[in-house]
Amino acid sequence: MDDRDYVERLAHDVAVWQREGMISAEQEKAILARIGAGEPRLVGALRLGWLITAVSLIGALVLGGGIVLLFAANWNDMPDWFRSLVIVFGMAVAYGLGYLLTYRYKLDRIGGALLLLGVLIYEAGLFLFGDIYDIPLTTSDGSFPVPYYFFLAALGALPMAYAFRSRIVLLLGLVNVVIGSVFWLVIRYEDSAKVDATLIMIAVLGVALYAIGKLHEVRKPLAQFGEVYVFAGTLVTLTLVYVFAFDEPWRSLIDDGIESYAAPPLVYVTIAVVAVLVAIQWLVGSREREATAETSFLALLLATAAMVATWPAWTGYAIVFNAIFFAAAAGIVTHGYLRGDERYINFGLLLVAVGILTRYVDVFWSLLTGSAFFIIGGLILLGVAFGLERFRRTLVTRMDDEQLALPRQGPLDAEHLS
Amino acid sequence: MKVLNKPAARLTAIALIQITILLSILAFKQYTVWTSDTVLLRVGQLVPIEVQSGDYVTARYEISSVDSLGRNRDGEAFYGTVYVELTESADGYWRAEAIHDRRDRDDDKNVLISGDVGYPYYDPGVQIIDYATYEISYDIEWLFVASDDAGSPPTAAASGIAVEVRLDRFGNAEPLRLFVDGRAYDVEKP
Repeated sequence: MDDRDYVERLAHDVAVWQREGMISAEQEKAILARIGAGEPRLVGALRLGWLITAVSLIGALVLGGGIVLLFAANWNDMPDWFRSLVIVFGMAVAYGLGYLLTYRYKLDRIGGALLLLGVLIYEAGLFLFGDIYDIPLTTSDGSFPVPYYFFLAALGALPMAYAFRSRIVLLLGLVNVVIGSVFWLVIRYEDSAKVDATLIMIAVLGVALYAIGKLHEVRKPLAQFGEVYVFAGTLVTLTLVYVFAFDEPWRSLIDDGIESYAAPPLVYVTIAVVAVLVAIQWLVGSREREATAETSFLALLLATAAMVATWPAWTGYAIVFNAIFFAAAAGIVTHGYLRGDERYINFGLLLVAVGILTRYVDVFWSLLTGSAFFIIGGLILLGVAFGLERFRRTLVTRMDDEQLALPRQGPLDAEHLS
Repeated sequence: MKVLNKPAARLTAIALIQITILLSILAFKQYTVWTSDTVLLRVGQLVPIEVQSGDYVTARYEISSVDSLGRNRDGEAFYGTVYVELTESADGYWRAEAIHDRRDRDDDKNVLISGDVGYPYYDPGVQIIDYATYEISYDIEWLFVASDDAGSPPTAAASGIAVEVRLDRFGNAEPLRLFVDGRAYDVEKP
């Protein structure tokens, strides 16, 4: 995060802390004065930065959607050459305006949103070109979208993300990669007993994204992208872990008569490659205790993936993946606490709540009558919310106390503020 | 690569990459045209329709009705998108050999044409009633005959009517010429 982002985020955060009663109005003013934002108008301007980014991005998405809808209504009446030109012209206008706003008029938030719009038009253009020129958009039986479109979309989005340091475009590119990989794997192993192994590969892909994120964090110019990779990797892996935490998939596998040693070699090759990535990110990283714990957890995930791929017929895996899910949630909370980042704490606690709620529904749905299920469930939820809120408040307060006790560093240095 | 340090140059380079990727779809389309097969489909019935801007005909092909040729991979009657495998007969016309629910061929010498089977009728017992004959449309039933070529729309009374069709690797059909009593007319999709 660069200094300006940090200052803007802090200006936003202190308002939330003051509203929640964690700091007094005087403390809020003191912090704002310390970051050079004593003037009320300047504070307002700083806090507006986040709003402008959000509104610009939503504006770009809505505009992109509107353009697609406008042309979708009249699409078939237009000649092929005109439809093709509309796409290329749309990209050129979005990029041109984005460039002008960013570099000529220094309105980089709206400019960045228009660059995102250009990438969205490009990605929509891929599918529209396929439609215009009769190249199939779905597999021959119509079951799945053709994965190559997603890979081509990523091929156009990722360079844009790196060249213009856009995290939202990077996230879009990673979403393309993940969706493309999912469809590619499912189509490759469709109608075979090996299709279940694709889920393992997708979970492993999440670990790969996480490790790539950590590698980005090693080099300062790329550090801002690391967070996006780590977020995407965490989401992909935890989604799969969440699915594996249910009993049904394992029972279904056993009912289908799945055999040991049936996974395709690609699963093991993927796990091996990702294991090398994980090892590299540890070797070139900080090797602090937290980094070592993170790496050990990633290694544990890969070992579990290899075990599941080799001996899939065991219902006990549901318990293993529940343990992994809650361990990951606890790890994210701890990470947030150690880094002093409230976002991780909130996300980790959200995972804990989702996990508990899911297990409650999973176990008691069939055992309790409707009214009892909801009454007990509601009470449990309120209890969990109470416990989590107290826990979160304690952590955040302790975190703030510890940070206030530390000498000022980084973006709060006087030289940064002058 | 110093020039790429300038944002304008970077943006131009990336936009060019994206446009090249988009153009690769056109190039691939051209490749499918070059590697396409041309087949002659017998027309059973041709109905002329006069429209202000030109002459149109609707063609009903011999392969528009296909006798039930097996079932899909789920063991049910075919419906939705299908691929009809065509084989060349001794008289030069291409006839239906098999139906598939994805792009598979039994014989490499054969070609595939993609078509659409209407949803089959479901009886109250949720049992699919098998079609004895599938009615399949190939998106080449409506043909535009350029006025200068045709002079007047070809008549339904003629015998020996056929349409020459180009088929790409995905089974997409592009009508090329209409033959009526030995005379050829250039045709295209409306």
